[in-house]
Amino acid sequence: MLLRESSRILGQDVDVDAVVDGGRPVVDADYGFPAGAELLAFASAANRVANPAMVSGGDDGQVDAVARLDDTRDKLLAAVGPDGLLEAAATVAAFNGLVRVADGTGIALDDAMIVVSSDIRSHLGLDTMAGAANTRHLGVIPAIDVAPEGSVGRVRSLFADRSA
Amino acid sequence: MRDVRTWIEEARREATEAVARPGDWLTAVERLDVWQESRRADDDPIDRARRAAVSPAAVSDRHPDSEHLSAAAVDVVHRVATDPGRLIRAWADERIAELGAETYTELVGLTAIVRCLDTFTVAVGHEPDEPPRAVPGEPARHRPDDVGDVGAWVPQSIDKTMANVSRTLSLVPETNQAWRALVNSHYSRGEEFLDLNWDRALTRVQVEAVAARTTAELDCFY
Repeated sequence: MLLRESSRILGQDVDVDAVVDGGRPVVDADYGFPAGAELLAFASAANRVANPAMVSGGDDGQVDAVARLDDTRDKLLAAVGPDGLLEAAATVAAFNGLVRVADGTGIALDDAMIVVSSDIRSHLGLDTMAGAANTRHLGVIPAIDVAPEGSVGRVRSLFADRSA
Repeated sequence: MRDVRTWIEEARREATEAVARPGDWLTAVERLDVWQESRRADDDPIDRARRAAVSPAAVSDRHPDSEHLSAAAVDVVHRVATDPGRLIRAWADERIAELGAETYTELVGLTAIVRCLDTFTVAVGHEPDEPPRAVPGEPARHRPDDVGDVGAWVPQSIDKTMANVSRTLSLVPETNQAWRALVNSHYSRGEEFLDLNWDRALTRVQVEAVAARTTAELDCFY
């Protein structure tokens, strides 16, 4: 949702399907935004090394994963510089925590999120995931007090602390 | 503008120190055991077998107690660490019945914190940090007044102005404070979060693409 909103603001035609499909080839891929291939290859490599249970092939697979992470880090550094690499590493780290607090406490999608993400969830088949069971009224458009208007309204309604 | 590198380093140091202090319902040694168990889970044959199974429930083996945590607590840490996308309410209800909602939530929050810390280290290519020494003392044992059933597996803040992801750990304020400082420094950065065309080393699209790839690979619906 935030990817789609921000790409609209920046006028970039991001290939969301490819972004969320880690199995697609990334070499020279065009994701519709600068350094997309380098960023996504780095994210995938970092996730695999940080989560060895996800890596198939046992110890050999993990050795390969570490080498791949080193390679993708070098390429990302060349593409976006040290501050960009820092941002990418911090984002991967933050979301390795965020998915765990979300899935570990069984939160539902916010009502506003159900509304604005219905088409992309359907397109990507996300409603079949285990975590979807925590949102009991998927498929039902909930009544929300104030429909989020504009990009800031949509962002604030989804993730930002509206009390802030 | 605050220097981001320093901000992240400070938040990481503060979170590391927070894990080693008495928390909400767990002592410092229990909290540090969460860190060790989170790391141990990566090479644990039971966790790998669960991850490979069609359903994690298909693997009946159980983890033993750790030095300071019960088997139920160890199970929470390992499952949240290695297979968060396939957690279900029935499993959580069993663990909550054994541990209490507060301790369960603290275990989830601590696992998220240490995975965030360790993932960053891996991503930038540094050696894993050595956990600090435990700080003696008693947990706060404070249950906030403004929590209730908001549809999640555990009680959370009833403040409807907060997004669900922002109140996941509101039942355990000590742990929540450390967690939110990490997220703020690593990703959201206060009011800057509202700006879809922010001025960072990576554009909003680039950051959100990395986030989307990460959540997809960890099978997260939210």
